[in-house]
Amino acid sequence: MTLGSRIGWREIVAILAIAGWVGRGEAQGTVATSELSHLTDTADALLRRPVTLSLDQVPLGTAIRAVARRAGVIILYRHEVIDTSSRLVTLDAMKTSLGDVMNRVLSSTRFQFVSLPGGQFSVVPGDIDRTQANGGIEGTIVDGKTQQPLRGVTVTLDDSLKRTRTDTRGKFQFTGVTAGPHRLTARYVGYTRLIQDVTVRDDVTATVTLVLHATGHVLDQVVVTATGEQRIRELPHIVSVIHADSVVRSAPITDVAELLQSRVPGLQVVNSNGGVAGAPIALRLRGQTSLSLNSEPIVIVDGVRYRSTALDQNQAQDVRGGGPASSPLNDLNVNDIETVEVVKGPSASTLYGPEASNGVIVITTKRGKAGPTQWHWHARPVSSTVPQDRVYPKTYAVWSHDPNDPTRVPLSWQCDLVSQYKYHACVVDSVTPATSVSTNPQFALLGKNRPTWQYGLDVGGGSPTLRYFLSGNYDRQVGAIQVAPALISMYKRDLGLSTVSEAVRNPNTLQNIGTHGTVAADPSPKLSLSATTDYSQHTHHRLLTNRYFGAARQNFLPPGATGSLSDSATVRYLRGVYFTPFSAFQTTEAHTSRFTGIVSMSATPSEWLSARGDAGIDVGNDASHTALPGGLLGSSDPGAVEDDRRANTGRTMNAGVTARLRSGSVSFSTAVGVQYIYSNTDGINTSGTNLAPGSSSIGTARTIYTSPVWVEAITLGSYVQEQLGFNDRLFLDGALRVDGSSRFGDKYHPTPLPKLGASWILSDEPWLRGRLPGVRDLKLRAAYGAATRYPTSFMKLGSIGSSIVTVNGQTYSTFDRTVLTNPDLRPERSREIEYGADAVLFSRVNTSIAWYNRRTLDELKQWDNPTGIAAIWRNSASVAQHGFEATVDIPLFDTRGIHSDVRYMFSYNRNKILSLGDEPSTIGYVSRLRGYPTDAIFGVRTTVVDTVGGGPDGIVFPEELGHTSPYTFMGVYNPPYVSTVTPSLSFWHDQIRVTTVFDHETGFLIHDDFSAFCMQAQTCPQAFNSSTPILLQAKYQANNFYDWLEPGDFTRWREIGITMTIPQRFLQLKPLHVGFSHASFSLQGRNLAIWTKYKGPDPEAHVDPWIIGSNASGIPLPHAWSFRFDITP
Amino acid sequence: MHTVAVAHRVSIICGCVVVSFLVACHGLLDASDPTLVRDPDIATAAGADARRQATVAAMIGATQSTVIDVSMISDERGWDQSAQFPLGFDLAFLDRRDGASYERVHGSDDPHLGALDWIVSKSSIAITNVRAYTPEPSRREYLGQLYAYRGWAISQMAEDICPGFPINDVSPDARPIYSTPYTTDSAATYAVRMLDTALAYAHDSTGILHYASVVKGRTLLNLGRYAEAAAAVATVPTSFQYLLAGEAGNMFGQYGPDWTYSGFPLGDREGHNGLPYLSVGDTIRVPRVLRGHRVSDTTALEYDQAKYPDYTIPIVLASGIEARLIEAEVSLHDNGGTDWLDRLNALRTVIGLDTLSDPGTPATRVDLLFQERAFWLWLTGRRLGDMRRLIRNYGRDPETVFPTGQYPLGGQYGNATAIPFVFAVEHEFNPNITTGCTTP
Repeated sequence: MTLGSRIGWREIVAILAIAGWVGRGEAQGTVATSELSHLTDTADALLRRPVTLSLDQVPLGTAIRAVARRAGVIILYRHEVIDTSSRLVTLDAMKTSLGDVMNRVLSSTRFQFVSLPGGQFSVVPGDIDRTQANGGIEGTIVDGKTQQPLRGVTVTLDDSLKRTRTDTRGKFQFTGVTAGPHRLTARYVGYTRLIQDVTVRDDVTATVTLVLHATGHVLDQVVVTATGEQRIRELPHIVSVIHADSVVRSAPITDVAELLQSRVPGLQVVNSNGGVAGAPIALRLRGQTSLSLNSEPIVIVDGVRYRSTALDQNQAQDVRGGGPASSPLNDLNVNDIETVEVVKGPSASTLYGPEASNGVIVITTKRGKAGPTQWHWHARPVSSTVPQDRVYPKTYAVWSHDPNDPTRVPLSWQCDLVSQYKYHACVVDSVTPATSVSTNPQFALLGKNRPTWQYGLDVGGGSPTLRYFLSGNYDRQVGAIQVAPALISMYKRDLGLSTVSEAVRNPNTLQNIGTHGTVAADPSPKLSLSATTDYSQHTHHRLLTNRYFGAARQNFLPPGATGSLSDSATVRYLRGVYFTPFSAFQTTEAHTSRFTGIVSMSATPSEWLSARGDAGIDVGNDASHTALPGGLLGSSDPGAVEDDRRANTGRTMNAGVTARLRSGSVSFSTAVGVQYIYSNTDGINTSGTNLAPGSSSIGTARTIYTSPVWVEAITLGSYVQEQLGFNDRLFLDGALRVDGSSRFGDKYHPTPLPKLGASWILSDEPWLRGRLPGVRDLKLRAAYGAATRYPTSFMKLGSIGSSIVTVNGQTYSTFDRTVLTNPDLRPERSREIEYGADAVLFSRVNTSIAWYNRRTLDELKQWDNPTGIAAIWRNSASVAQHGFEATVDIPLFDTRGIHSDVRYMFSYNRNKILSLGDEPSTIGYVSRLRGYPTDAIFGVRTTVVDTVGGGPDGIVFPEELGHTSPYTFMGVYNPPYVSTVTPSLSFWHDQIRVTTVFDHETGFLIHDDFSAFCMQAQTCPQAFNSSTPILLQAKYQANNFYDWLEPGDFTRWREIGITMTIPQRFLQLKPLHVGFSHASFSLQGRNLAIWTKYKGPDPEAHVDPWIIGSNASGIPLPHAWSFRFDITP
Repeated sequence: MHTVAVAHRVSIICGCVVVSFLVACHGLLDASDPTLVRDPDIATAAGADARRQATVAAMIGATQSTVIDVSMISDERGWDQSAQFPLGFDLAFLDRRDGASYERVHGSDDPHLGALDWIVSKSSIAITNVRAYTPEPSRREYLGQLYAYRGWAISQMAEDICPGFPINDVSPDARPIYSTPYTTDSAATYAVRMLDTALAYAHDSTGILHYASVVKGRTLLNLGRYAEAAAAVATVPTSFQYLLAGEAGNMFGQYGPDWTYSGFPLGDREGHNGLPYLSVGDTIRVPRVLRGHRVSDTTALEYDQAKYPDYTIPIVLASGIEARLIEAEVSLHDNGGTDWLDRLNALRTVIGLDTLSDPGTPATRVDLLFQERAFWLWLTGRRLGDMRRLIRNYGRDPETVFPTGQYPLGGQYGNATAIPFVFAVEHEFNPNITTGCTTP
């Protein structure tokens, strides 16, 4: 009996002995004979029987009879007692369990609901002294789908006065509970809020099992907002939730970026070069939102701003050399994350500040849970390989001879059609397939089966009033690029070296060590305190991948070469096409250490008032050292070195108060808050050359250049938010935010930014009940918000650069104004409206859709002023953006322990430039024009007229080439259509679960580097085959970038995870004295296949993730296979 | 409800207080940037000198790019299919006189006009600061230098750029000044005004004085003010040279005077009308180095220039030789007997070249004089101005002056007789520029 007051036979007898109860008892309610089959059911089963009932101010006895009738059970009671009760019952139950309904009916009375043998029930008077607080409640909370315990669930006893969280076994406990009825409320991010009534008896600890459902009642899921926890039903906008703890265990996830990828509609994770350890990534929420400013969403970790990009938010580029830095977002260990919530749309900036206008990613880390100390250990070896077929295309060699000089050696170069037919400089003898030397294992630039190792250990536990969590991790990744052993031997021999460092052999590695800890205390029922620290340390060997990849991938060994180092032709060739010792021996080692400390407080001084505050610091040091030792290539070799040092400091302070009140059917929620955010980067970049022989120290450099790096920004903002709720069905909210920022100095007068929203649970309206067959939990929502985005002080004040100029052999310092001032500069302003709906269809299918329209005004645009005037920033553009997002969760089947479901996500995003100020009237090379997208590509295609020689001869000569005119719109760089399908299948009651992810992106153009390189290197047959179609010949001759733009549409098999939870009976290996409370292992695959007509390397691999359209020589994303072991002793 | 009302009043008051606090507390938002250089920080004599050097740096860049661009559109450099960028490359379009394509590929920048205009805008800021902070006597010398550079840049624009171009500038408080269109003559007149100012300031600085004089004489020649031109250069000694050199690899880069990279060898009778830079065999004034066989014709040899064997060799911006050439042209124009020829031969004798004979007719005399100018001033950025002067002052048909006919790499030579300015760029930023090139 889940209500806790489990009655034994001895007590039943005592109850029956109460004079006049049973003997004169009546079965209240009319029960059909056919419905009495419940007599064979257990009492627990009957108590779970769903009841749908609506009562409004009816007497207690009437209410009991109505419940019995609806539930089809017999409830005995003494009517002269019950019916004289003054209690009037109001009840609104929708498929609520019988036990819950009766507890609600009897709440605030002296009666108890008890079960009797034979499937009957009775209402008896309570005889417990309610003034004694010596009862208790303990329970377990499990996931409704997996039946696995849930840790970290907030359990509240009686309206927030007592709270606790479940431990790693999903258990919680309240002691010192007064006898009588109580109400438990369980909240867990992403799960349905559950309210359970429990009756506690004196000296008895009631035991309950609460089942939370992650799907089904989506509207009651709880999410973390800037003003505290809120139910989704109250929110006028979308918040997407990722349950990181469970996802990380089963999916192929190495870092935060991979956790975010393909899990939220509208969130694009832009990869940089594939297979690069520590490659930077970029995040885009609802696309590129600004022409000039950073479009990265901000990241909040446990309430505090977390530096997530290597750049300042509005800084154009990172000046560091030696390859791009890894994303600071990945400093956070993905195993320490409990949940990730992605906030899009108008509400983000209103509540999180102006820099949040690109959206917010709210990360909540794992916290300590009350209960015995629990250890958890995981290990994850990964093996990744870049697919060779997407790196080295098929190439061909043409063998020819000079008709004027037959004695010359065969030509394998430049015998294109023009040479053959126009200049008669060569005659083709044969065309043979050629294999790139790069695929030869002894010379290969890309290693196979490159390893990654991840280990982690965490421990948590504590008492209900003091809890802790501590974790540690060690990761090591080895990037795909290597300097192959044969090349190392060659260099050692050439340079007379006895050994080379590991950094030269494997120039790209990333090693992370980190710890994470939290301590949480509830010194009183009204106050919670927590402190969180996170420390990470990285050693990153970075590299510029385009130093290694370029046209070399198109080359092949010359005639007669054997492909071995003993062959001089091979060696000569290798020296020509591979990276030189200069680049091979140039290494970059970067060290990063980062500490995050957060102190949080939440207080509930009264039932209607809560307050919270966070203060945190995010400090770190980055140091990189790029070096090519002096004297390596000879005594006159100057060598080169670059040292970069940066200290990053971030400080965040948040404080807020929320008042929640209810008056009748109307609820009020008022929140006020203030935020202070400070960020600073202080560094210096020093480069030098003319090093002492053998030295890679800048201290020995005779020529040194230094440049300082300093970025400081302060934002101070406050907001007021008011929310009204009517009948828990209609919610209206409005907010106002005011910000100030150092980016604007004291001439800027803050403008209040409004936000309005409405959420209406239409299906809960009484007048609509039963009229929407197959639809429940239907919610309509709309939100409007305004935001600003600040330019940098650099944009407003301009800049004066300094440099050294040499004139007639003398050096001088110069001061030069490189950016003009514009004191009239204003922030970018944006307005966004979002409409949407959520619903459960056919009691199974969860759907969520959203449309949005965004208008950005006063977009900052740099006027380049190329003809002699330095650049100047102006507010001169406006951009309209719109999009659509949808998520559908469909359970396919659930029978005999086999369960299957599928999630489909779709997003569409387009934008259009509405104005560009005084724009040009003609289309030129300029890619941004009014009426076209911000990422538009304008170009000309090559045309050909085969007329030379008096008529068509099938051969294209240079003079026959032309191009379309003028420049026309060709397409966009960014994929506007993105969809993700995530099917999953589980067996044996979720003991084995298979989840896979497919991504599909369409509607964008990308440059085909393979064909372009092939054209330049003349290693594709079209370059010298006279039967090649005329237009294709023209493309291969014209050297026109735009001819090689082609659709980048692709479908990628992104992930697969096969996770097996070891059954309990196998976990207790007593003969071996080994026992685990939980163990699972998972086989995981990532980027396993791609289907695309794109002929270039990889439509997703961008050399520079900040410029999504860039793709020159991107290294494809690697196939990766991994195992993960999770063990809880 | 009483509690509700009280709570809400309290909340709203709190909110208002917080908002008011934030609006009032600007001091909390004071951020610093110790790396930022602001105008007041460099309001000193040293700061003014550093601004002057920025103008000098712009001069180095502009003179080098001028040498390259003028050599392409004129006949100083030839063509070859082995060029790295045979088609679609801006210099190739210049070489082919395809002004429209050149303008199209420069949709986001304007390298030639831009490089020259940098001198104008940088010199404006430098002049303002030198006037304010540099003490005498350096102040007058520096102002003379800056106005001379400014005059040279505007004069070069007048020679090279098609009419209708802007001469944009910057105000003393670093705000843009967008220019109205200039014609060849109005720009040249503007240049003369700047050069006169330079001469007024630089009377104690011989180098600047002579430099400004030669540039002024050259500009007046273009304006057809022959007598004034001769007078301007009269005091410049023949041995005078004004040199400017940059740092190795600093400015020249891939397409610098060491243009073996760019694939455009020396020209020789390019497009029928080109001068015989190779055929004449004058290796003193046109030094060359053998590159090898032409790719498309293995019987033909190609040569690269050897005037600038490395990046530090200075460009002669003005010289006494040019002064004498100006005088010779004025003399020929004024029918001064054989004075013009004597002046030319006097220069040739100094370097050991044979003397020239009078070709006999006015037209051939002009041809001879301009060929002498072309050889003496080879790869110094003068040739385009000379070719345009032949058209403007001597009434020559452009198709008898510029390379014409079939372009060896395909198609025909175009009809550009000046380097276009990129209208799309100008129009995007400059409200005063509403049309592109007008008829040269």
